[in-house]
Amino acid sequence: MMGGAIFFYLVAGVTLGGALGVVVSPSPLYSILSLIAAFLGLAGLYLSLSAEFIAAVQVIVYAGAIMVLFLFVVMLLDLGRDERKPLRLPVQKLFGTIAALAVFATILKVIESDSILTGARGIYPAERVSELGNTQVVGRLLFTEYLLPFQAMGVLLFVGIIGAVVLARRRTG
Amino acid sequence: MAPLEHYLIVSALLFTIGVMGVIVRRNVIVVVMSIEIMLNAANLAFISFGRFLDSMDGQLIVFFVMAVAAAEAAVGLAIVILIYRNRESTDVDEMNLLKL
Amino acid sequence: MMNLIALILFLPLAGLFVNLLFGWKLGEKFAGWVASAAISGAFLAAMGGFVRLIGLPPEARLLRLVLFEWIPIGGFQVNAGFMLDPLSSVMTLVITGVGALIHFYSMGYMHGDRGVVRYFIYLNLFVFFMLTLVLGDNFLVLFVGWEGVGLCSYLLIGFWFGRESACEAGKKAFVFNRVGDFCFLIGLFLIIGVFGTLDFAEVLGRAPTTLVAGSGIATAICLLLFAGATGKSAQIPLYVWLPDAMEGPTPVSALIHAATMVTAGVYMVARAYVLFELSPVAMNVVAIVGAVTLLVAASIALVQTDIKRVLAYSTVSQLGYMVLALGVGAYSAAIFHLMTHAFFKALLFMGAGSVIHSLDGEQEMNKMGGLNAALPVTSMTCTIAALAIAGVFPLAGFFSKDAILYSAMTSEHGGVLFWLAGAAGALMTAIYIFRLIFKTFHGKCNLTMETQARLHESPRVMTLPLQALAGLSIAGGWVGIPLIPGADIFGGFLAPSLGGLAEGHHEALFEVIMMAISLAIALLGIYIAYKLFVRNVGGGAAYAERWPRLYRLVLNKYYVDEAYDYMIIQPVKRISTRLWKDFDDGFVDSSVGGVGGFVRLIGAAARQLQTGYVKSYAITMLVGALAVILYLTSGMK
Repeated sequence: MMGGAIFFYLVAGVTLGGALGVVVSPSPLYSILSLIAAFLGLAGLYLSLSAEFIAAVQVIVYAGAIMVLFLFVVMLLDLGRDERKPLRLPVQKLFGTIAALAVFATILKVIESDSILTGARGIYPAERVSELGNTQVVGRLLFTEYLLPFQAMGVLLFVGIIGAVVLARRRTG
Repeated sequence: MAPLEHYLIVSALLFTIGVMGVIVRRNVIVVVMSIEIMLNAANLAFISFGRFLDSMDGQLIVFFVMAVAAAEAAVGLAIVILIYRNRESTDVDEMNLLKL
Repeated sequence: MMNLIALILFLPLAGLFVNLLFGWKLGEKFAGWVASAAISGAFLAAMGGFVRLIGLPPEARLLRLVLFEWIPIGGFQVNAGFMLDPLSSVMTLVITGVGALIHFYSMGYMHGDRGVVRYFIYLNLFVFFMLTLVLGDNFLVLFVGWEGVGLCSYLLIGFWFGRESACEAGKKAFVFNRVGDFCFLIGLFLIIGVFGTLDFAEVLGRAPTTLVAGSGIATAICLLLFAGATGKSAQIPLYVWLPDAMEGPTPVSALIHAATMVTAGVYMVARAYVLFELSPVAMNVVAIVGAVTLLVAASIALVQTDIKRVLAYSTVSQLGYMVLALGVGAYSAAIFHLMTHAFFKALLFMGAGSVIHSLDGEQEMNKMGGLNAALPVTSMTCTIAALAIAGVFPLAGFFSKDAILYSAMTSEHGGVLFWLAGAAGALMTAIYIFRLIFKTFHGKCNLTMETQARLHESPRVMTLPLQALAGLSIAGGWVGIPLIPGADIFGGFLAPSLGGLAEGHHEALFEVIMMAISLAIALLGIYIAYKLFVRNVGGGAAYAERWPRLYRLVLNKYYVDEAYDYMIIQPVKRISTRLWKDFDDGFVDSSVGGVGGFVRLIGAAARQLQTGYVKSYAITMLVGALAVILYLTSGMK
């Protein structure tokens, strides 16, 4: 039990630290590296929630593919140094902080309410899932109950590919 | 395993950091990354709830969110490249042509 | 037989379309010949129709053609139907006959004009509509033709649209006709209301039983129809457009504003005579309007110096004769005069056109004179026409005018006063028409030497129609000789359309005396004109000096135009200006502008929200999202 708690605080710390690094580091490059750290931490959190498949996907897709894309763009555009110009709206920083704190307070208020976990219980307790195999359960659901969203997702990715190609293509002539 | 509230607080903190990033930072790429952070905060909340309610729905929704995020990142970064080509800048505050 | 009516109607239309499609390419000569051939063909078809009618027994003289059901609404139905009865037969013969001659004449007169193809297109269109008017078998088809000829009249008056006066005249004709047409239309609505149909045969057949003689509704219908006729046939109070219509090309004046279109009102009243018989009041109004018009117009014609204006007022005056004849119930006399007038008035106009043509557009009579030698054919034919219009035995005008004067005296609707008016008009007619002849063709030549050198008789294509019409002006009256039994062929032919011949109690001696009197009046008038304008040149001017006020009153056409301007045009203008400045500028514009201004104000405030910065949008969105979340979670503990 103790080991689980220590693991949770460890990966939660990595996640939050990485996220903060994204926002505060002056260089986009560091931001990206911090974000990778945050995503790895998140994968750990998912593991602690016995969502092994998602944790793997998080590492492969997010920390791998998507972040490589970001890195690639930063390299391509040569954005080594960040903006040094003063903010156009100085109140923005203040405003943003206040808004962010308000968001946090609101969510906190919801979390602390009693009715946070009143939903109906599902049929997949962690023990059963680990018995069946997490990946197997996810796969089965994906191709049965969630078949239509799965197909739609395929279409969405296809459109995304075309969109990205059309937008980024250098127009000749 | 830590209680649900702890996961949710981590999620809330992540989301708040993402909001701050979107509002405070001016580099488009960092802004896009902050949006990814917010998405992941939501993901964490989904999986936590699913785990504590004995449901797999949370994990599957996260799966879809990731696909959407991937598409969004691809298109979004393509737009960033386009903007950079036209304006030699990635500062969102300079992208105010809508006003003109 | 139905083909004949279709031929009469559609030949002009065919000519129009050929010219519309090919005329511009193939040029003036082609257009002229196509148009003339189309009308000549229509004339032959009209002849055919006439012969076929003659072949039928008098009661059965009616050919019909229904093209299609036009307006079938419940129990009400109007067909695009046409009919050829003796009355329309006479009209079609006059229209296509005189029309064809004028088409040929136009080829000479309009030679070299830039718009000559357009001219022939308009002219064919006019003939088509005029034929629609006289051939229609119901009031609505008649009305279509009625409006169509009005349109063509407008187009042709304003034919030389480069001249501002021509445009103004066209507009004036259109507006004055519109007033009449409006009344006519209301009359049609009343007829629909009373009879439930517009078919001539049904309305006229049922009128004596449906309408009470002398009732208000009968009088209203008749007066409204007649108001339409005053517009088209240039009677008081709507006659003022006709003199201005002389801005159009002279052949147009001859065809439209003398021979055919202006007689549409006369035709319409004759067609609906059964209705008028039911309203003695309306009959009286018609007769009085005719009598007054003929006197007023004739007196104005006495002093005008523009050759075409004299003829225009003469036309108004002669139309007055026809209307007077209608008013006293002498319908066949009216149509008789309509026909003979078409011959000699078209001839006079075309003669005047010939003069104007050879003088390069000069219309002022004071600058003419002594043209007899240079223009022998024109002079000769015009003199014949003048004798005819003055009513000299045995020319056409004598018989028709005599028929009208006789009826004015003896008819049950007539009276001595009407006869006196007609007789006085006849005297003035003789004077003004010979004043025109003498001033133009005789006496000293007032032209510049330069113009005199270029004087020439018009080409044969113009003089031949003149000679043809001269022949008709001489012989045209011989179809309606009274007294001799069976010699009034004209009245007998029209009888099926216009009711039986009212005559029968002819007093031979009385009639002979009447004829002698009218002949004497005509000769007296010619003598006076001779004395004033040939023997003693300036004799007319002496009279003008003796009564300067009267002279100026008549010269200025009794200030009718000015009165209209003062009483109607100016007030309407003032009201319109007020509406424009106060209502439109003041109220409408400011309220519309106010709405726009209000929206702009809100927009100006709202656009402050649009900073153009992505972040401010993001913050706004965030605040909104927070508000929604707070609202949704407000129920939680």
